[in-house]
Amino acid sequence: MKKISSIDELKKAGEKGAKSLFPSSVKIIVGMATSGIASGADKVYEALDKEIKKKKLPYILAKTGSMGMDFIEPLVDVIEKDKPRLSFGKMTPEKVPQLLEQIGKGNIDKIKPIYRTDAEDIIAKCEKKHYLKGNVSEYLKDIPQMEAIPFYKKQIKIATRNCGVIDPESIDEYIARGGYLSLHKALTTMSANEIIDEIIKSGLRGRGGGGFPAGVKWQSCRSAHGDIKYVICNGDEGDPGAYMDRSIMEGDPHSVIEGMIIGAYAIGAQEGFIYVRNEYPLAVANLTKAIGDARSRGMLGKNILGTNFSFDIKISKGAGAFVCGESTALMASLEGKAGEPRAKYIHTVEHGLWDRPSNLNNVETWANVPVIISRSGKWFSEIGIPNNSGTKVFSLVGKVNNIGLVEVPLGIPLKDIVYDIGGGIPGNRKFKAVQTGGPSGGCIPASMIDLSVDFDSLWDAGSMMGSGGMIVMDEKTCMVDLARYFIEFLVSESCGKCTPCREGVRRMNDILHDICAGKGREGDIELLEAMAKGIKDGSLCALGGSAPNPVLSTIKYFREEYDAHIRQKRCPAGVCRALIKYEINAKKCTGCTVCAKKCPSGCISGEKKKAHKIDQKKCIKCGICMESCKFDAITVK
Amino acid sequence: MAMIKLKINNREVEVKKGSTILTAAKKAGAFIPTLCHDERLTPYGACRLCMVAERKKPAKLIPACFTPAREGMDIITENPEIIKSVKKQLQLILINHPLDCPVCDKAGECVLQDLVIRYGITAAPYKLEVRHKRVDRESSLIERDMNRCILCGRCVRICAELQGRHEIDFINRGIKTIIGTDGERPLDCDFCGQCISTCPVGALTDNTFKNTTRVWKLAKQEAVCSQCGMACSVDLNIQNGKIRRVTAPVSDHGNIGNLCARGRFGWRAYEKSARATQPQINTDGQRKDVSWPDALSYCAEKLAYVSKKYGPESIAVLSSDCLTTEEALSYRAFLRSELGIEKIGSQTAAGYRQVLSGLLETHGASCKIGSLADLKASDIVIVAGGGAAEFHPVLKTLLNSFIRKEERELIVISPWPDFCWEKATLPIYVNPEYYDKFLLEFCQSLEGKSADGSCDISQFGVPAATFAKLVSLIHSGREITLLVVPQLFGGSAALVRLTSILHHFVKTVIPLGASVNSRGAVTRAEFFTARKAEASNDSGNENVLQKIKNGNIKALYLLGDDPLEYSANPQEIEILFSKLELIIHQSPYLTRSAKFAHAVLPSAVLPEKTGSIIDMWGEEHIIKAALLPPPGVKTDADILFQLQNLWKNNSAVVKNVPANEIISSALLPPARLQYDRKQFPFMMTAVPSIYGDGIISRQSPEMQKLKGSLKIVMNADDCEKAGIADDASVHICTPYGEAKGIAKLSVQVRPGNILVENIPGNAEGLRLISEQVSAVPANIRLAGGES
Repeated sequence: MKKISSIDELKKAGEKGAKSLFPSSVKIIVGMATSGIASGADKVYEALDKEIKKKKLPYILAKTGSMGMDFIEPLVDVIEKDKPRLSFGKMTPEKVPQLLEQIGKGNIDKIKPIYRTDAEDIIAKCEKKHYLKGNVSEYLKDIPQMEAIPFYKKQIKIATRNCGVIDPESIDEYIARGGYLSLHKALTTMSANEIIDEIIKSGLRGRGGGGFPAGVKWQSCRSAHGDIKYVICNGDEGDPGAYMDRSIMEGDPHSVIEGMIIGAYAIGAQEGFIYVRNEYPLAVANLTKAIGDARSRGMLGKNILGTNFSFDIKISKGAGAFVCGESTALMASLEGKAGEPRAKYIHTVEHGLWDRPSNLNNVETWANVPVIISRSGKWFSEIGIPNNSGTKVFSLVGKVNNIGLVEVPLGIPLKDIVYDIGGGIPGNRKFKAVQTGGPSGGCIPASMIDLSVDFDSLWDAGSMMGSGGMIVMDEKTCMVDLARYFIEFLVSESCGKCTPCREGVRRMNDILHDICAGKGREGDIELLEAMAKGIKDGSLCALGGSAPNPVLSTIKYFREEYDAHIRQKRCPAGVCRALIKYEINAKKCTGCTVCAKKCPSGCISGEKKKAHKIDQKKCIKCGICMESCKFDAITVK
Repeated sequence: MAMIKLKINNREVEVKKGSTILTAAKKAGAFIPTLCHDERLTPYGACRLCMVAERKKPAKLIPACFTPAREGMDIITENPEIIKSVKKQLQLILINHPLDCPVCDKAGECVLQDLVIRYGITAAPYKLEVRHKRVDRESSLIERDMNRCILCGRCVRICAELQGRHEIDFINRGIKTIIGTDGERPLDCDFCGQCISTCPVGALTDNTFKNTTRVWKLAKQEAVCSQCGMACSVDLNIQNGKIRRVTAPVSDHGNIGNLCARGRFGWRAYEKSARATQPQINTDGQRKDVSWPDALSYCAEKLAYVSKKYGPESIAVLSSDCLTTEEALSYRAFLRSELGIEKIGSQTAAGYRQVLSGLLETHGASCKIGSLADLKASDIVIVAGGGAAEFHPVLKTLLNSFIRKEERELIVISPWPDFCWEKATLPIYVNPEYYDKFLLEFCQSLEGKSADGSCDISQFGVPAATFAKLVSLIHSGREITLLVVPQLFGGSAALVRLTSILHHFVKTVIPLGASVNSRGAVTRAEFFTARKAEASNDSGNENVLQKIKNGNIKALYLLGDDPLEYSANPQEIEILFSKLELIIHQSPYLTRSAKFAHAVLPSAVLPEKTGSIIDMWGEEHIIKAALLPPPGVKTDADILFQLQNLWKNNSAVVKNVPANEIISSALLPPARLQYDRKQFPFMMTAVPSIYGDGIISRQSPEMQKLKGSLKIVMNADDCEKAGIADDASVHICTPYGEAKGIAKLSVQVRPGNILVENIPGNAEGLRLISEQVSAVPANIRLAGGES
C-alpha cells in the first residue's frame, strides 16, 4: 500500500472507506466482537456466507465490532442503498435464509429488525451521514430509530464511536469516519504544547480508574528529563465482568493507535507499547493488523504522514495477571520482569519503563484523544459535568435486563443507567445494589440510586469508578458472599510482594469464608474492619490499598446481612449453602415429580400427585429443584 | 551534593538530597523497624513495617525506606497509629512463620524475633497456619527453609543486584509465592552466602554452622580475610577459641558487608585439622618429627653451609605474600643483611608482581596506582584481562554497584567470557590464541603507530565497531580506572606493555591477582623492586626454576609458597627439587613441596598474627590475633626471631652435608614442542576458579568440594559434535601432557576454545600448561573412548 503523506491522499483513502461504509449494493454486517462470537455470531456469519454463495447473491458480507447491545447478540445489520440501516438481533443460522429472502423481497415480514438507523453521527468529523435518502418506506415506519430506543437514548458514543459500525480491519473505513484527520491536524497545525493544552482544557481524566487528568500527566512526561520517552497503552483489563477496553481494541483498534501517536507527538516519545492480555486473542489480532496497516500507510514508522515525526508501536502480550493493570507492575512486566508494582512516588512519567519517562494511559483514554483534537477540548469539557467531563464506557452486567456496553456522559444518575438503559431488573425482582470499580471497588446500595455517576461521587460513596465495570445485583444476591467472591479473586491475583496484601487479604478471605459457612464469630465484623484499615494503610500499591473496599462497603451498607450470618446463622438472600435450607411447600406442591427427577443427589421423595419432601441430610443445596419447580412450591430459607 | 534539612521526632537532621526518610531517621538516632531493607540494596518496600507519618497528617502512614526525604519535612516515627500498623503487619507475618525458634540457628539474631519482642506481640487475632513448603537440604553450604521465609526478597535482590547471579527468584505469586531456583534444583551458584548474610530470619542458614552452637555464645573477633588481595573485613565468630562461622560486618570498608564463598565458608583452612603442626627434618632420607630448636638449628646450619659453599646467590626465597608487613620487613632485613639475598620472589602472586613491577619500572614514583575510592569515583572502568571477579569474587559486588549508576561504562577485554565480560557495557572477548597480539595491536593504535585499517581487528574475534568504541571511550577524557588482571599461567608481558601505555590515559591503575599482603610486601618491605635492566618476567619463580636447572641454586626457602602447586610441568620441578641441597618448607600447610623438603616449619595463619597488612587497594589494616595458633605452630615472626638468634650463636658451623646426586636432564619428560596443529584443534586457557586457587582456599574442605576435579568448559556445539554431554568425564591433552576432567557446556565460550578451571594444585592439570604461553593447543576426548 502506498504511504499517505498529504491531506489529499488521506481524504482519498477516506472516500474509499466511505464507499464501503455506504455501499451501492446490499451489505450485510455481522457483529463479530468476542461478545458476538460468544452468542454464536460466527455461525451466523458462516451461514450467511454459505447461503449468499449458494444463491449467488450480489451481497457484500462484512464484519464489525460490538454495538454494545450484548443482550440481543448476534446482531446483523443490513444496508441497502438509500434505505435505513436495519439491525436484526438474536440472529441464528436458521433465520439466515429468511433474512436473505426478505432482503430480496424488500420487506420485513419474517424477521423484524430491532431498530433502524436513518443517519449516522460521525462524531469525529461533526457530520451526519445519511443512509436514508428521501422518506422512510411505509413498512419501516413502525421500527424505532436507533436514537429512540431506551438503550441508546442517553448514550453518547465518543470512545466507542466506531465500534459496531466499521470493519475493524479496514483502515479506510476508519479514515472515512474522521480517522487520522486529527492526527494530520495535530502534526501539521499544532505544536506539542497546544495539543497538551487542548487535552488539559478538555478535562479528560484517566479512564483506567485513577481519574488523573490526562493532560497534566502528558505535561509532566513532556517536561521530564530525558531524550528517550515512551507512551504506553494499558490494555490489561482484568476486572471480572468488565470488557470495555476489549471491545474498543476489537472494534476500533485505530482509534487507540491514533490517540497514541498524537500523545507521542505531544510528549516527545519515539516508541509506544500496547500491553494487552493474551486472553484477548481477537483484540491482539485486530491491533496487530491495525498497526501493520498504519505502518504501511505511513501513520507509523518514519516520517509519519510526510512530517518529520517518527514513532512506532509494539504490542506486548500479558499473561493475564490482574496486578499488571497497575502501571508500575505493567512496566515491570513489559521489561520482562515479574509483574510486581513498586512504590510510585518515583513517578513513572519521570522514571518509568526502563527508567525512562513513560506516559501510560488506558485504552479508553487514548481512544478519546482524536475526537478531542478534532472537536476541541472545550467541546469535550461541555459533555458531562464540571470536573468530570466527557463520557465513560461501562460494562453493565449482572441482574439487569439489557446487558451490554454503554457509553454515557459522566454525571448521569445511576438510576438512568440501571433502569432506562439497563431496562431494570429481570423478573421484577428488587434492585439491591450496584458494584462499581471491579474487585477493588465497592457497592452502592439501592438507597443511593440517584447518585451521580462520576469519579468523585463514586469515591465519596466508598466505591470507585475503576475501569468501568458495573455489576447490578438484585435481592437474591448475598452481599457477604459477594464480598467473599471479590476477596477470593484478589487473593489469587495478589502478587505477593507486600505483607498486608499477601497475608492480610488472604486472612480476610478466610474470615469471610467462615462467615459464609456459618462459622462466623462475634467480633468478626470488627476484626474485618480493623484489618481493612491495616491493609489500606500498609499496602504498596492500589491493588492492596483498595482490596478491602468490597468488604468495607458491604459492611457499611449491609451490616445487618453480616449480622444475620454470624448471629442467626442465616443467609437472608438464600445464597450461602451452609446456611440455607430448601423446603417444599406441601400446599403448593402438585406432586409433578419434576424436582425429584432432576435432583442430582436423589434427596426428594414422594408419590405422584402428592406433596414431595426433601431429605435435608442428603440435600446438597444446589437449588436445581427450585429452578425446575413450575409451581413456586420450593422455598429457600 | 545538595543537602536538605528535615525534622525527625523534633530533631533536625541534614541529609543528602535524594536520601530516604529512613536514612534521615538513622542519622537522627530514631528507630524504625524494617525487615525487607538492606542498605546495600535498592529500596523495595515489601514488609511495610517502616511506616512513619508527617506531623501535620499523623494518620497518613508513609513507608520510610522508600520515601525520599524532603526539605522541611516534620516526621514522627512513632504514634499510636504507627504502632498499631506495625503490630498488625507483624501479626500477619506470624500467621505462617513457624515458631520453631529453639531449633532455628537464627534465634538470637533474628530481626523478626527482636521486633516481636519489642512490640510485645503475644497473641494473634488470627488462626495460625502451618504451611509445608520445601526445605532445600541438598544444596551445599546453604540450607533454605521456605517455611521460615517471610518473602522480604532480600536474598533475591542481593543475588541479583550485588552478586549478579540471579540464582534464586520469586516463584508463583500471591499467597503461593516462594523463593527458589528454577525447577527446584539445588543451588549451583557462587556460594557467596550473601543471601544468608541478608536474610532477616532463619530461612537461609549456614550449613557449616548448623546445630553447632547458639549465636549468643559466640564472640565476634574482627579480622581480615586472607584468601585474596581484597582483604575483606570479617568477623570471626569464635567459641572457646574455635571458629564457628565467619560473618561480615557492615562497614564502610571495601566489602561493605559483602563476602565470597572463600571468605565466608573457607574458614576450616584455619583449623588444626587442615594444618601442619609438627616441625620435621629430613636427614639421610628419613623424615622425622623434631623439636622446634632442633628444626631451626638444622635450618640455620644448612643455610650457612650452602651460603658459604656456593655464595648467597645460590639461595632463593619464595613468598606467598601472606606475611604481615612487619614480618616481611624483618625477613627482608635478615635475608639481606645476614644472607645477602636481594630478592624475594613469589609464586602465587607472580602475575600481580609482574604487572606491578612493570608499572614501577616504566613510571617509577609517578606511577598512578589507585585505591578503591578512585574506582568508585570513576566514570569508566576498564578490566584488562580475564578472571577479575574470579580472582577476587567480592569485586562482583563492587562492579555491579558501579554499573548500576547511570552513564557508567564497564569495558572488559578478556580472552574468555568471564563474569565481568557478561556484565560489561562494552564486552570484548578476544580469541585467546591471539590475545597477546591483540593487546600489542591495541598498544600500537593507542600510540598512534598503526595506520587506520592496516590491521584487521576482526581476526581477533573483535568487531571493528567495538574496537572503535573502545578507542573513543579511552579518548573521551572521562575518568578511567584500569584494572589489570594477569594471566593465571604463561606470563603477562603483553598485558604489562598495554598497562604502561594505558597509564597515560587513565586516572588510576589497580593490578589484580594479589595475595593478601602482596602490596605491602612489595611497596613496604621491598620484597621485589623492579630494576630497569631486568626483564619483567623476573617477579615469579620461572627464573628460579631455570637457575635450579642450571645448577645455580642450591637452597630454596619457601615462605608459604609452593612452586609444585602453581607451575607448569610439576614432574620436572620434582626432579629439580631433588637436585637441591636444602628446601625449607615454612607454611601453615603440608602442601606438595613438603614431601621434598629437608625441613618443615609449621607457621601461623593470618588470623593468628598481630601486625598490619596493605590490601590491593592500598589500604592499611591493623590486625590483632583473633586465634591462638595450634600447639606446635609458630608465627613467621617467632620463627625468624629464633632463627636469627641461632644464626648469631651458630657462627655458621659448617657440618659436612652429603651432596645430593645430580640427576641428568635426560630424565626430564620431553615436551612435545614439535607437534601437528591438526592433532590439537582446540585452544585451551587455564582460568581461575571463583572458589579460589590460592594455597589457603585449597586447604578448605568446603572449597575443595565445590571445586571438584578439573573443570573443562567447552562450547556447547563443540561438545555436541564430539558427543560430549554436560558433566561427562573427558580427557584433555596438550603437547605438554594429558589430564582427566569433567566437561561443562557453555554457550558463551566460542567454538574451538576450551577453558580449564582448578589447575593450580592439581598435579595432572599442571602438566597441561606451559610457562611460556597462556593459550595452549589442546584436544579432547571422552574418557574411555577415542577422539
